[in-house]
Amino acid sequence: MRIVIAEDLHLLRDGLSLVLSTRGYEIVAAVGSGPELRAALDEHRPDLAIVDVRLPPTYTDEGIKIALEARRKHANLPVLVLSQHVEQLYARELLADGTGGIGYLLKDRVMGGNQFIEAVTCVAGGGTVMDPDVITKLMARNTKRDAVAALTPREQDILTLMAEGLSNTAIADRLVVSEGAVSKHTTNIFLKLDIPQSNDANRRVLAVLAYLDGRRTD
Amino acid sequence: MHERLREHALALPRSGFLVVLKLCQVLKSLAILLSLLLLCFGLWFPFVPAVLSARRTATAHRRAARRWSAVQIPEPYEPRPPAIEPQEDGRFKHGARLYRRRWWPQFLDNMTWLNRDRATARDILWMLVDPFVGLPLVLIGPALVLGGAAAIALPLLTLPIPAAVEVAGGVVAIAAGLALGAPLLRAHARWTRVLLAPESARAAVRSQRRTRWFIARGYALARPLILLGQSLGNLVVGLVTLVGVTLTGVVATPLLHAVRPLADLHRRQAHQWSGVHVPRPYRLPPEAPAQREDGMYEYGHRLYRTPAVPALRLRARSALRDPATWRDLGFLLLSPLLAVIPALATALFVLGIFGIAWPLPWRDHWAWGLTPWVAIPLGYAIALLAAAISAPLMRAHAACTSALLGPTATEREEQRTRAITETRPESTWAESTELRRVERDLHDGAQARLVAIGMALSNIEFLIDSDPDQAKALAAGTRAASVTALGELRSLVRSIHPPVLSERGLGDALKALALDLPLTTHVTVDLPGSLEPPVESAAYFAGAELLSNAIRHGDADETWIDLRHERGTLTLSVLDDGRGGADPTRGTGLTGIQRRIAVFDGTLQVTSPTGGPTKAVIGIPCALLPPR
Repeated sequence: MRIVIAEDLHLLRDGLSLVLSTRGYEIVAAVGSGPELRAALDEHRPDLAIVDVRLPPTYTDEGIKIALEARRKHANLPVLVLSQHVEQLYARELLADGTGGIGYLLKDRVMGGNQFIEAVTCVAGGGTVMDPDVITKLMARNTKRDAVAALTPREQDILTLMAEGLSNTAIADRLVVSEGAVSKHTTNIFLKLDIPQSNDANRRVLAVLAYLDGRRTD
Repeated sequence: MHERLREHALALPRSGFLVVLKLCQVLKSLAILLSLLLLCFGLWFPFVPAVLSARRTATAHRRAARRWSAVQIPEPYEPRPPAIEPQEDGRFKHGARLYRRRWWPQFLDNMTWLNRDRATARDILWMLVDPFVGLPLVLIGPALVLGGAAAIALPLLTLPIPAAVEVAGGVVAIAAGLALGAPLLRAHARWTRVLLAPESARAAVRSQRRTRWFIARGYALARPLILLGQSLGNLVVGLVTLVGVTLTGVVATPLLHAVRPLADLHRRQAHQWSGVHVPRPYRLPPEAPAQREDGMYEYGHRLYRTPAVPALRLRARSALRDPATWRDLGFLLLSPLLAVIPALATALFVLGIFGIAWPLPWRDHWAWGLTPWVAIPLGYAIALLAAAISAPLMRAHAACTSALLGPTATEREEQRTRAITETRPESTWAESTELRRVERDLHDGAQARLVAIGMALSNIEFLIDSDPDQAKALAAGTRAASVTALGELRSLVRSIHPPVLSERGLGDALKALALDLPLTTHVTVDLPGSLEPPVESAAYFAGAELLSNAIRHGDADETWIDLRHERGTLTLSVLDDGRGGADPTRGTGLTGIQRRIAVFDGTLQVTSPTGGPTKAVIGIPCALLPPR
């Protein structure tokens, strides 16, 4: 898989490249600023872009802007956005186009070893991955809603993991239960929350996120 | 279909009603003009009844727009002041005085109430302008129908043309009147909304591009009149100051300071009307005279027992030596000439519409003997041209203002050095407490954890060959510790300066904050630029504190946050549906907010009746910078 990395801190850029290249990914470009990122995306047409939110020259939200712009230009190029802090506001903007291939994670998660690699694979494959911090806050806002409050604690855990972008298999792994049990729970959740169920894993994530965010899906 | 027919059929009587209403309104406008004129001579008694009667007309128009054209125009008025209750001795208290009867203090209250309400000025403007815009709109429909009917009913009496043509013309006129009645009524309702809606509701309309163009030109044509009026006042003040200072010397120098607010007003106008930012060029006020060891104050070679006279003379000297003072005076004296620049467009506009396109009723002919076919298009073309050049001329005026009232290159340099060396003692205390908190958090939190991680790593190094399993377990623990340290650092960073604030500015930072809260929030932001970073940060933390109050003490489920910059002031209001009863004089949260924004001359107003709702409004005077 060919990856472009944009991160302005030298140390982190090298660390990221190392983590990915030791696991057999090809880093076609590792750049340190917004304009360089734009050029690298145009030149290499990678399978995935890993982008820091804050990049020179403005040190504002250059990363998100360029990522969204590149997704419009290059037919939904998969983008994994990394940041020192996560904001629901940014999550909302990244999810707004309603297609997959998007990830939004704290930089801390890179240390999580396998989980980070799973996220990279999932996003590159057109899936959606959201940081647990985003989901925790989303869930906190939703616990007052009757429908969410009516879920059992186990179902709430599974809803959280679904929103983070985990597949049934990954959820079963994480909670140490069988995959069958997980799929039974998910069916229940969809019934209780009245979310249209879908076999496509990515559409499922988007529907759950939209529900938690209080938006309507089409 | 049925609805549409009904609307068309009713449009005529409705327009007729509005025509009658507007004819009464013309009389009221004259009364208002008279009351404004009397106001200039200090007779302000007629002002209150005149404005109140204008409000009644305006309210009738709002109601008509809502019922007949489905154009919603909310009432923009501030609530009426409560009736003054008598004290135990039966007298009425107002300010620091007692009155035996109620009507006088009540009248004073009403006067203040009407004067402060921004809607009053718009009502008056509407009363004066509407006869020229609204009246024609509602008059056209009935006039066509009545004219057509007259042509059919009295075919032989009126015109020397064949009766058949006249009847046909009459039918066409009636049909046109019936067809146009309803759309014109709707157009009239929309016009009514332009001036009679509250500013928030007008913002929605303003955002439509076409409307914005017309409104901008309208302002650019009307504002020169304000400038002309101001400039005459400026001329008088400038002459009085100049003559006073020349004749009396030092005695009149306080006048030199009094001139500054006038100049400030023009600076603000240049910014708000034409987007030209004109900074204040003045030097710092002199320091207060120091007390000598013998308790006296020194100025020149003389000693004074009190600091008053030396302070006055110091101020006078600094004002006289400040070149900006003399440029201010020059501007005041020149301002009638400068105001002529934008007024050219207005004059051209008036000439086009009233001088050429409309035959003046008292002169029975068109201007310069033109035929109507030439005069009408020519007049409107001239008016359009005037509208087109109005905004550039206003900008030219603002550029002149900037040249005279802004700082020169040297003054700019002086100001910059001053800003660097200047210290702000009032905020350093708060700053040092804040820094101590950050130091403690770092010392006990992330720093300690990094030490622990370092120790764990050295243990791992030691164990990695002898006991790989334990080394692995230790590594996992270390990683968890680093995650915790990062989390602590993140929340610390957020409490110092939230990252979204640097990345997106105040509007989005508040939106992001609202999304993180466990309650329903509605955020509206009208901030077409960015703010100075210190103001931004103060406003953000003040807003965050208000929101956390709403959740912690008010037990609110829903909040409305509104952020806007208008007339040189940033306003942030937070409304919640909690149980109210917040008191700004008690509670450290609200006083903390007050201290935080006081540095910027900001204000905090809280209304929080027991049982709710609570509304807190923060106002910080500040300039709006271009978007970053």
